[in-house]
Amino acid sequence: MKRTFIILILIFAFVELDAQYGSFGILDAKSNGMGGCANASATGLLSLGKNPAMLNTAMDSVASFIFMLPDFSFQLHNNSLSMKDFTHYFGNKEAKYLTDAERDDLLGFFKDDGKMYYSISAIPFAMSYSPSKEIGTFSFAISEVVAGNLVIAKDLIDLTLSGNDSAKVYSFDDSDLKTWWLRSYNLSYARKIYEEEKSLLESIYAGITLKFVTGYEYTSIENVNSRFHTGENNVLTGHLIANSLSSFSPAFGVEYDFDKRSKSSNFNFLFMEPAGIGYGIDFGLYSELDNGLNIGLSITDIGSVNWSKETVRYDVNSNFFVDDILNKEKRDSLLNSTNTKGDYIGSFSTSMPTALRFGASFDLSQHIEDIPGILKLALDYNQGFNKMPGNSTTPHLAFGAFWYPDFDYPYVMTGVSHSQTGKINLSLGAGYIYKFFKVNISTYDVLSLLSSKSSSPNYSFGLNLLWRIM
Amino acid sequence: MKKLYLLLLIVLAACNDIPSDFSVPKWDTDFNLPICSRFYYIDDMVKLDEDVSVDPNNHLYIYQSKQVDDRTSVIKFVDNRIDTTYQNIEMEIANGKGRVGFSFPEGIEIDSCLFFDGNIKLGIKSNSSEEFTAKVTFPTIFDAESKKYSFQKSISPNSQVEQNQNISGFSHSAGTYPNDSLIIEVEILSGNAGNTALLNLEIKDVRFIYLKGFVPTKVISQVKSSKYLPLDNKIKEVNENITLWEPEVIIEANYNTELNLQNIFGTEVQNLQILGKKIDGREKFLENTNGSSNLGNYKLSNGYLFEKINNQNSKLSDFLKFLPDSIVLIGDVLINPENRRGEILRTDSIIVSFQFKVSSYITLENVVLYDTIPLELSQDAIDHIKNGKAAVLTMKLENYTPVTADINAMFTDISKNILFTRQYQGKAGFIDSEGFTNNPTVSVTEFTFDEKDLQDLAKSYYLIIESKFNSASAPQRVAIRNNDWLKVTSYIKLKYKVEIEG
Repeated sequence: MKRTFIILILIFAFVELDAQYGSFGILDAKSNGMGGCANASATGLLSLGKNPAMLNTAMDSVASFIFMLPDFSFQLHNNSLSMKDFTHYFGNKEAKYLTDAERDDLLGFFKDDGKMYYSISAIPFAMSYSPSKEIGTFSFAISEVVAGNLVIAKDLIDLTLSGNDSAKVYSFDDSDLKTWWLRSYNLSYARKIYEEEKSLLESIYAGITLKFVTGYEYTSIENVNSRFHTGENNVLTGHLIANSLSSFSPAFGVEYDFDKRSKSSNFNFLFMEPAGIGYGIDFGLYSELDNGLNIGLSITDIGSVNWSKETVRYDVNSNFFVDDILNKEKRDSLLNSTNTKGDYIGSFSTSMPTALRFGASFDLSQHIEDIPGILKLALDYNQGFNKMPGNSTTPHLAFGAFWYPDFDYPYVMTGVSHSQTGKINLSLGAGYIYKFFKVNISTYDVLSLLSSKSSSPNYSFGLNLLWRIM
Repeated sequence: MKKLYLLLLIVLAACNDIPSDFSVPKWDTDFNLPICSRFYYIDDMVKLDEDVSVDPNNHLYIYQSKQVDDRTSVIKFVDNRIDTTYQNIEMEIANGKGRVGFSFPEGIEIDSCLFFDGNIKLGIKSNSSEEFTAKVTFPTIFDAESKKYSFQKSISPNSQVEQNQNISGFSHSAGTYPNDSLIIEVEILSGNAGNTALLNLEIKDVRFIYLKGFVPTKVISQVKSSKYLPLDNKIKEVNENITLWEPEVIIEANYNTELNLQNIFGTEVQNLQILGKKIDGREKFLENTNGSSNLGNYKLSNGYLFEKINNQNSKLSDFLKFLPDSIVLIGDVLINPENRRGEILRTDSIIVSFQFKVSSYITLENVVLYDTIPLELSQDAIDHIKNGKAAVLTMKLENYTPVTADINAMFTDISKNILFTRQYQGKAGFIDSEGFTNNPTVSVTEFTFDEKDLQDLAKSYYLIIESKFNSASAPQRVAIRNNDWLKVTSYIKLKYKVEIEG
């Protein structure tokens, strides 16, 4: 009873979190520990969102009924401050007055654009049922994801920290913001579609996931086109063009400056009116070769979300020329350059974080008998088709390993990959299988945990508990 | 399982690094900001009005006061001048007739005239013991119907009769009679008048519509017209330091008549004086080159006078250093200065006018002006200034005017105790021999403010600006033209403490 209570606490602690997909999306704890390798190595319920074909793979293809309660992961990646640095600058009760050297050091952390990617996901409920090897596996899962991409243009940081240098042109065009909160109801099916013993290609699995998506928040800043120039005699010229789109569930009661109506919040996590509705689909194939090499290929999150509630667009379109700050009209042209004009708009659509996923895993222990237990190596290549939260058009490459030396002991995972910020991560995780449940715990970047001055300031954590009923 | 615990411990240890407090740091940032960039044509700063204009040829400003007119009716030169009284003038009567001539005063001779109004009262006192009837005729006086003026009177023995006649509309024509007298002829129509009679004559309130003859010279009025000069109060304080070159006072007089100007009596403005007055009561007369405040007499030629008073015939520039608030023209209007014969109409008048004219040739010599400006800094502005750590303010002046400005800016507290000062010199543009600017100078000055200065600035209540102006560098005579210009550019490098609230 006590355990049940703890589990329920964990569930409710994480129910405000949701799951996210995409080429850099957050993963289950096991895949997380393998550097993000999942496309040919995450099996069963852990394959949800990566390759549905693996829902029905060798390990779980016998008759089974599995719950995953809970599943929780979070990742925070930035390309600048480590936690120690962050604490030094921002972790003070009173605002720290930086020396010039400290200010320059802070600026030094942002040699590139300041990038921060976060995703918090939870699967409050997931279950799979495999009636038989022939029929295949069915699963139903609810996933939540809150995710965001935030890119602060390097020049904006430079301008804020160091001021405006004469004769220098600043551009904030690289700035980007996209955040959302999606809840996805996933219905999956997978089965083996080919089997030929004693041949090179032993088996092929196929899977599909249909998704009904409800969105509760979407915010983006788009089409940033800007220029800030300090010319001769410190004359300031420039322009700022950008727009933002947002949509919030009416339950948030978000108020806008252009709408004088008073709105109340009636937030209810489970039964809120969504701001957007969407549909998606995942396809996947998985094959096992007789030499221990397994290959997975999938395309995930084909679809879109149509946002129709509280849809708002803010625009800014300004030019400024200030050669006389004592002149009110000219001064105001600068001060008002960030003034936005907003209004309600009709519905708009956003793509799901569509991505092509390829993965391979190799059971090395099948070929080297001296290796105790099971040692699997994995390789993943993800190619996103857009830059929605969790996704990137920059390829994502990961190498991982899974070693289960003795079935009486925990297994360990490790991996190397690069995050969306471009930093290299060393992942580490461990898991344990005990009769009717399996637990995985991992971190995507162990260096940031071991060394708070790590050059790869990423923060991540994953936890899965899988309960096998039959 | 131990490894699982180890991993959990690592995660928990990492969580310990997460700070419990959060605050956005403060830091100093260098902002490069433009303060101002302004281009001023002198033309933008000088307000043209009905008195101020620009000479299109040389772009000099011309101040020319509106003409001040003083209109004087000339007829007062003759009105009432023949008013006179004669008592008990004996008239001899021979053969029933008598004749007497009454001379006009001052030797006035009237060839002809038309009376506007007036009265002639004639009294006849009989020396006879008998009654008689007499006809009295004024042979040179005609009534409104052009008939000789005459009347009849019956006079009792040793008694007196009077005839009072309003002569409005009557005329006079001397004809063959003497023109210096009023002639009266008496004819005894019945009875015995004896050998003599006594006559009393009163000519009173006689005014003319027209007169031709000789009237001796006379001052008929004093001209006294004044003109206020539009001087700024600040300028008034710096008298003796501003020299206005090429000033002129133009005096103009016109004799207006419907007559032939050849025949009028002629006019002279005498004892001309120009007086400068200040509001505080001080006065100064314009002197001629000999040091006399009497600028002389000016005779109208053919009814017209145009006279310029300038530095050639007076000390006008010296006079203008006094910077009077108003100028008063004083003079006597004298008619018939040559004592000649002439004619006059009632509608004749003389308009004496004067104009003050000065062009923008000036010399400024240490003209010091003070301006006290309440800064009235808002609390928000004070807070921003207090966040300033240091600043370098660059002032760049491109000067295409012939004036050098030395400015001392004094920042004071509410009691006008000086907190800090800064000095600045804007050099005059290059000028040619005419005093015209032909090339701009560029003066660049950097003002450095340390943190204390900025804190003092935050405490400042007044900005007192002491401006000392000199024309060019000598100082020398220069020309202020409407196409002269100034370009003021100022920018700042400000070290500022950035504090983000929240």
